Amino acid sequence: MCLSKKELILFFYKEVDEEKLAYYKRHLESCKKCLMRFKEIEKFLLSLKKEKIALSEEEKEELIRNVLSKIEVSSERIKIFDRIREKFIFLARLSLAGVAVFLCIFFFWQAKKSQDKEFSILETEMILSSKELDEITVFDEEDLENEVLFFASFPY
Amino acid sequence: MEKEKLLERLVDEFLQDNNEKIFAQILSLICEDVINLAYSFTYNLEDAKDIFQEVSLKIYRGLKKFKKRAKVTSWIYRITVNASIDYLRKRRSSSELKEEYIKSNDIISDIERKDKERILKKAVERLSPQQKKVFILKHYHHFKICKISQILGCSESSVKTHLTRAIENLRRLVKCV
Repeated sequence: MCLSKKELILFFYKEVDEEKLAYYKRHLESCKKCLMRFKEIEKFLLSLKKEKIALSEEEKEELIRNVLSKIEVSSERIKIFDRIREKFIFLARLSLAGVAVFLCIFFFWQAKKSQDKEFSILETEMILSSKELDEITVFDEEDLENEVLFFASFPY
Repeated sequence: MEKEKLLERLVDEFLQDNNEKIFAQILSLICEDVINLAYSFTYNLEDAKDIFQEVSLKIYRGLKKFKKRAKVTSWIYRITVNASIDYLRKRRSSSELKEEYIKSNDIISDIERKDKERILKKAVERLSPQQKKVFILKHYHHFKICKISQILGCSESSVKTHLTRAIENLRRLVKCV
């Protein structure tokens, strides 16, 4: 069976195990069609060349110097940012504590206020009921007597 | 391999000391590789240098959080590949090179001038981002497929498929012009 394009490409790059490599070699020796296809791929891939960039020591040093200076600038910025952030965090914590204290005082004050209100209501009610007792009239006493007679008229 | 070990050692030292001199040594060690990889995407040395600076800053910031789940080299190459793709995307969105890469007439005129290298570069540019990444890492930088899968964070079979499709597309693009 003929080799696929994928197999031929992997064979070109020697990206197959020993067993397959030997098999592909044997196959290419015996199959002219595959050999021709392989030669085409090989020719094409060998034509794709790329020059290697070689940098001089000076160029390298300059590049590295540039990078290090950028790092220095960015780390300075980071330091400033960190300082601002620390201050911000401190202020935020301080204001949160302030809000918490204010809320505590507010709720305590509210609770005390409502307690005082309840006491004043009870006091007023007490005054009113004592006044009512003092102001019982003769008619009220007659009503009471009638009520007693009415209940007494029942056989038991 | 020696380079990789040295890099790992330097990264360990940097994580302990947070010393800029050690970071400079790390940069010196990876400088050429990062620039070459970035150049494979941009075909422009100045752009590759810009990408190197960006990658270096990302490495500096990321190293403090680096948890060694992957190899340092794979991590650095991944940052470089992503930074290069982002750089190209930004450059393309600025429409500077949009017309240059999309117009097929341009490619035809290149054939007339028999500027094969230029055509191939443009053909690579026309690949999908994933195909481009895989092709560049494999063909120009000779990484093993397992390493590419680590760098790109995908399976080996996916890398193989992307590589095959990238080469098929490249051949088609070159043939059609």
